[in-house]
Formats: sequence, structure tokens, C-alpha cells
Amino acid sequence: MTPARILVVEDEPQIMRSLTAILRSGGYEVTAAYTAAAAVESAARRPPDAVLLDLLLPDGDGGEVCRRLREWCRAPILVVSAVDEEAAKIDALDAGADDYITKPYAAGELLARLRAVIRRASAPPGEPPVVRFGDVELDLARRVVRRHGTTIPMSAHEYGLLAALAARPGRVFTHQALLREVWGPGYERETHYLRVYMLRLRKKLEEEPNRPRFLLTQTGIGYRLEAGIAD
Amino acid sequence: VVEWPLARNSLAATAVGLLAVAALTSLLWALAPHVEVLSLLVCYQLLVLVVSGASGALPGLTAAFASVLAFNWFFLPPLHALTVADSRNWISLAVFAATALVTSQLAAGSRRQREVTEARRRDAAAIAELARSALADIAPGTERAKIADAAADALGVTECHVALGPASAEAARRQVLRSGDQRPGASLPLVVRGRPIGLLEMGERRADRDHEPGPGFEAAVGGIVALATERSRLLAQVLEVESLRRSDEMKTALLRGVSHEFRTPLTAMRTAGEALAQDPPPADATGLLAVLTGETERLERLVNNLLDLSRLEAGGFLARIEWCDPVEMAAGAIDAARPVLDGYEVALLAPDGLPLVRADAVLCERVLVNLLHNAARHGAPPITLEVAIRDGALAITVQDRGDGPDPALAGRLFTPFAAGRSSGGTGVGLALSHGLALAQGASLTFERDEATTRFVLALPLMPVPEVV
Repeated sequence: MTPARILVVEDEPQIMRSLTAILRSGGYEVTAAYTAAAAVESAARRPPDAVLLDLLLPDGDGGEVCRRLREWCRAPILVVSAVDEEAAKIDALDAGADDYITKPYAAGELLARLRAVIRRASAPPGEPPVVRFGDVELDLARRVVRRHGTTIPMSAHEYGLLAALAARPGRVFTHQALLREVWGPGYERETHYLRVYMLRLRKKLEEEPNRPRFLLTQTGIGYRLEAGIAD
Repeated sequence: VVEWPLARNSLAATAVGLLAVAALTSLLWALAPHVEVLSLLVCYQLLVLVVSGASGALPGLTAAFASVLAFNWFFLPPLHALTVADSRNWISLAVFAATALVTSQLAAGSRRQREVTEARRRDAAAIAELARSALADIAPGTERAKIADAAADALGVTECHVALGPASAEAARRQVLRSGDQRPGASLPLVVRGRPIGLLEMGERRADRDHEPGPGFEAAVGGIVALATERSRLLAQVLEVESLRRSDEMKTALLRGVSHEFRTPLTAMRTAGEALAQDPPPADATGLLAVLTGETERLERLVNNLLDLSRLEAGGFLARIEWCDPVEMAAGAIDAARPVLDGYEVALLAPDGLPLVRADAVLCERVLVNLLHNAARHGAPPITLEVAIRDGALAITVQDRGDGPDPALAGRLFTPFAAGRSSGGTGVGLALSHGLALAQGASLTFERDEATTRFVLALPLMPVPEVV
């Protein structure tokens, strides 16, 4: 099996050098791009298996790169950003990025995240009819949620929120994206809806609602569903 | 100079006095057949005394004159003529006239004295009130308008304005120079220790002003206003100097702290790097590499914290306030802090049914991670994170069983590098946390009792909108 190929978009040569070393030791092949333009061009010439994208580039922001790649490229995108760039992260996620990692990160964490996005992307296409996490079973075709085999009653919005997250398990959905998806356009700023409904979902589906294991908070960004974990 | 309102009052009193004489005369007419005629004079005497005491000299004298005429006309034979039959009666009449003259003067004098005393009492009360509101209640930089308002109340004018500056001071100086002919004018000079500083400009006299101020009253008001203005200016100056001095001290401490905090990891990194470059490579290469990574992380934290702190102090930190679930934030903070907790477990205590709060979840998480990090590094387990409603706010409390910060630092806990050489910390964590709390309308406080050390992040409670 050929090693997965990662397109690394990063303008700092010193960081590129270390990243290349870390990724090679993790068993990946690395293609380097130092600018936004070079990244799009490289991906067009030879589609990568995943993109590691720094959000701060000399010739344009990472969100724009995400948007342009997403026009034709399905490779998962992991964006890298500094601690206080929430707005840029949200923009990139809404533009199609799959996950983000905050600088400074440990090498081990980077490799784990990368493995996760690649694994999710290589899953067979089409919505899985049943998503499992913990002792919960979500049957997307029948719109039924079971826990310990018992059907859990759900309101329309509760189910909508859960189904939106389960559409791409592991992927980070921004608050705005979830509000638009579940409540509709015009509700993007009503974050209190999300807080209230997420708490209700956790009370119904999590063992410890205050220490969730599956319905996870991405502080300041959004939520994601950690599914496919054997319990 | 007799002013018109007074004259009008005096005319009315005179008329009342004459009416009283008429009324007494008709009363005595009924009594006359039964008493000695001359004894009726005593009744008139009493009346003159009362009128003089109540209304002053002029009404008193008028009443006396009218009494003489009425007595002569109605009671003294021959009746209905202003002549006197018995010459002895002339003496009685003359004695009455003289007594009436003297008593009316005495009574009127005592009345005037009463009035003056009352007016001075009111002046004194007005001065005392002005002194209280303009001097005692003064805060540094008390607005001039407040002092001017108090002065307007004391002077009984519609409004006052304190005008400072060179032009006003010059006008005041000129006014002081020709103080020989000082009359109630449109403005009062404000003088502090012989130096004119400006003018107190006065508006119209208020319609409801009920007494005439005595001589020197306006000068006294001017003196108090001048003092109050000067005092407020000096207090503001003292505070400004104090805050400049403190900010200077803080910058010096910051610079000293920053240099130290930077130098330590840099030295460690450089030494580790040089050791690794030795040929042959050192035996403990892995350990040296760990030093490099660890010290880098420390530098990173320091740089991030300092950047945020400077941005906070420049006021350039925009919190993204939205509805947040406090328990979710607390749980998120525990997860995020895990790498810096050295393996300590943090218990999350939160009752069901807590309300949502308005906050910036990212900033809250950073504050809580900072506090948890501190608890793990300087405190002692068990560490708990409690979410509860306390004193009308939503309080997120980080508690440990350690001794807490040095009590000598109380009051400077949230000042950068207050601790001097910090033990492995960056020295700015608490200052930054405090600033991040304030930036989102929350507060961060420190509490300590025998057994526990607590930092409380208190978020304001607000009515949560309906959720459909």
C-alpha cells in the first residue's frame, strides 16, 4: 500500500522542515507548498490524500484556499491556526475544512488528528444508515434513536441537531452552520438554542452529561460528534 | 435706599394699623359710658405697642397719631371736636403721645433686630450648606458644575458658572482692585490665597428667594467656591501623579520580570542545543531534547500571555459575547487544562438546571485553564471546579487545598510580576486572567480560608430568552 500523501501549506521554511520530518516519521509522503497559489496548483496537478493548511499565508487567507479546493477536491483539510484566531477557524470550517488544530501543538497530537481525518474521509461514500456511539444507535434511515436498545423520544429539533452532527461524525460543525441547518437561515446568531438543545441531547444520550464523551464542545467554534468508538 | 416691595408691605401694615384703631374705637364707644374716659388711653397704648412690634416704626407712629385724633374726637369733651375743654387732659394726651412714640420706636427696633438676626442665620445656614456640599462631599475632579450648582443654591440665583482660565482670572483681578465700590453684580471674583483664579458668574435672582443676604455674604460664597474649585483641581492632580507613578513602577517591574522570564528558558535552550551538538553526542540526548521542548513551551506561553496582556491594556481586546452554558465551559476548561495539570484530577461540581450566561466561552476557558494550571502547580489536591449561583451571579470557582498565594501579595495579586521571581510561572497569568474576566463584563476574585484557596470567576446573570 502506498503511503498517504499530505499537502503541507506553510510559509515558514523552518516549520516546514520540522513538519516534513514529523510527517515522514509518521509514515506519510509530503508535498510542500509555501503559498496559497502553490497549494491550489499542486492539489490540481496531483490530488493529495489530505491537506495540512496554515491559516496565515503571505498571499491570501486559508479560508479562501479551503473554498477553492472544495470546488473540486474531496481530500480532508486540517487547518492550523494560532490560539486567538477563532474567526479564521470558523471561516475555514464553514468553507469546508474538516478539523482544526491550534498552535502550538505536539507532534503526537498532529499525527493523531491527521489519521482521524484521513480515516473518516476514506470511509465508503454515502451517509451511513446507522451511526453508533457509546450505547447509542442512531438509525438515520428510520429517524430513530435507541439507547440500550430502547427508543429514546426526541423532539424534531433535538433529532435534527443530532442528525446534522452525525452526517459527518468527527467533523467540527460551527455554531452558525448547525443553527442554519437545524433552525434555518436567520437563526445563525441564536447560540442559546444550541446550548439548550445540546444539553438536552447530552442528558438523553451521555452517561455523564457534564463530562460528555461523544457530543463534544469545540470551545468558541462549534460541536462535533465523536462516533465509531467501541464502548 | 428703601426698596419698593418693602414700602408696599409698610403701606399695607399702616392700613391694617388704621383699621385696628377704627375697630378699637368702636369697641371703646360701647364701653365709654361705664369707665373713666382717660383710662381708655391705656387701650390705645396697647394697640400702638402691638402694631409697632408686628409691623415696624411707620405703621406704629401712624396708629399712635390716629389714636390721638380718635380719642380726642370721640371721647374727650367736647365730643366731636378736636379741641380739649379741660386743660388737664392736654397733659394726659401729651403723655400718651410721648409714650406711643417711644414704645413704637422700641418695638420696631426689636422687630428689626429679629429680622436681621433671622437673615444672618439664614446666611450662615446657606454658607454652611455650601461648604458641606462643595467642600466636604468633594471627590477628586468633582465637576465644576456641581460646585457651581451648590453656589447657585446658596446665593438664591437661577444658575452659576465657574469660569477659570487666564481671561477670567484677569477679570477677577480687576474686580478685586475696584472692590471699593463692590455692589451685587453679575459675577464674583474667585481668589485663592490672594491669587485670583477665575469668576463665579451668576444668573438671575430666583423669584422664590426669601431674604436679603447680609454684607459679606457673597464674598463668603465666592471664597468657598474658590477653595472648592482649587481643592478639586489639586486632588485630581495628586491622583494623576499617583497613577503615573504606579504605572511607571508597574512598567519597571514588568520589564524586570519579562527580562528574567525570557532569559531563563533561553539560557536552558541554548545550553541544551550546544550540548546536543557535541561530538560524540551526549548520552542523555533524549533528556536534553525534552528540555528544549519544555522550555519552548514555556516561552510560548509567556509570549502569548504578554501579547494578550498588552492588547488588554491597550483596550484592543474584543470579547465575543454570546449565550454560553457555564457547565459546558467548565468541563471544556478541565479538558483543555489536562496537559498542564501534571496528572491531577479535577472534580466538576455543578447542580442541574443552571442558567445560560452571557460570556465569551474562549476567554472564560482561558481564565479557567490558567487558574487550574496555577492550582496544580502551586496548590494542593484535591482540585475542584464548582459552578453555582452565588450572590446574584453565576460563580465558577477553582478551589484547591493549598496555602494559596503569599498573604503579603494580597491586593497586588492581579498585578503582573507582583510575586517577583515566579516559581516556574510566567508571572502574568493572574493579571491576564483578571483582565480577560473584566473584558467580558465578569469579575475574578480571590478568597482564602483555613483550608482552601479559591479563585472565583463571577459572570453576571441575565434573563435568558425563550428557546423554541
